[in-house]
Amino acid sequence: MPAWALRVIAVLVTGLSMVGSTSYALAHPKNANAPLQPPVAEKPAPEPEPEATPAPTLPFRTLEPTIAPTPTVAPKTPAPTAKATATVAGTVARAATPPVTLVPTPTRAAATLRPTPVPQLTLAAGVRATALPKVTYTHSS
Amino acid sequence: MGDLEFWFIARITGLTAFAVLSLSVLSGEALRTSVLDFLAKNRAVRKLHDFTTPLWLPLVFAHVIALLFDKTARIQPINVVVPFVTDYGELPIGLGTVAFDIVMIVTITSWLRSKMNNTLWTWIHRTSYIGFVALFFHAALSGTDFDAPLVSAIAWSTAAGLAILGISRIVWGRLPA
Repeated sequence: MPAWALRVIAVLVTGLSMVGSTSYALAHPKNANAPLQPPVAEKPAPEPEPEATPAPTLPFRTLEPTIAPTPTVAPKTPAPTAKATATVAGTVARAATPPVTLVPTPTRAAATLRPTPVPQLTLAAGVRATALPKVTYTHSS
Repeated sequence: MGDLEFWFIARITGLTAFAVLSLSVLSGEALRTSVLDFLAKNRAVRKLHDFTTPLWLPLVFAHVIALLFDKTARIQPINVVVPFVTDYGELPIGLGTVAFDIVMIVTITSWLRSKMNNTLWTWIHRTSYIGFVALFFHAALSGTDFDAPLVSAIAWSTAAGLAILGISRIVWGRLPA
């Protein structure tokens, strides 16, 4: 066989290999079992945690049990957890376990507005409620 | 052109370069054995061996350049020349670097053969066997497509055939026609 024929065969082998490789690679763009898996994403830098601010000391406030209408307890509604991100301002009852949150009467709404429904509480006679400073919940991981 | 296009180019040129480099090694071995005597005389086989260089050289360069531009592959220019310094897959990628270095040295010394000592050139040229072994394991250990049965069967059978020829050449010298 002459040299030029061998060259033609070499070009044909190269062309066929190229066509075969192209068709195979395009038909299989991804291989989950590929031996090399370079890391493709860097972990984002963790956000700096907000500095804790000292809570202002507020005087206790006592709710009179005879105030009408009185708050009621809705036990099926879960209390906000520490993972929720929200700013809560309001009055927290410290009388019962699990802790419950007071929902104010319409006349007191300006002081204790909440974005979501919260458990309602009926305070027993002699139970004190206290006003707490604003609390910001941040998620923890 | 994005990473995916460069990735396709790297895979396609890598597979094709492996096939053409196999042909180059086969034609080189045929010069010292008689495996292609039924097909052509040594002069024609020698011309074929020389002719394969302009076939695989652009494929190898395209493979390397595509990986350099592919940000996902994270191949740095130093990784093209210095082996085993990547931040992942040191061995598979390093074997590719070794193979690249060897075939470049073999090719350049072949171009400069007339100005070189023939014995030195011969021994340098024999390192191409080491280069092909490194190339094969680079492809087998890092090739995305080498776990495919079709690609794997062709690659392993080609490498096995060339290995048998090479060992026969070493043990028995020039094979009978």
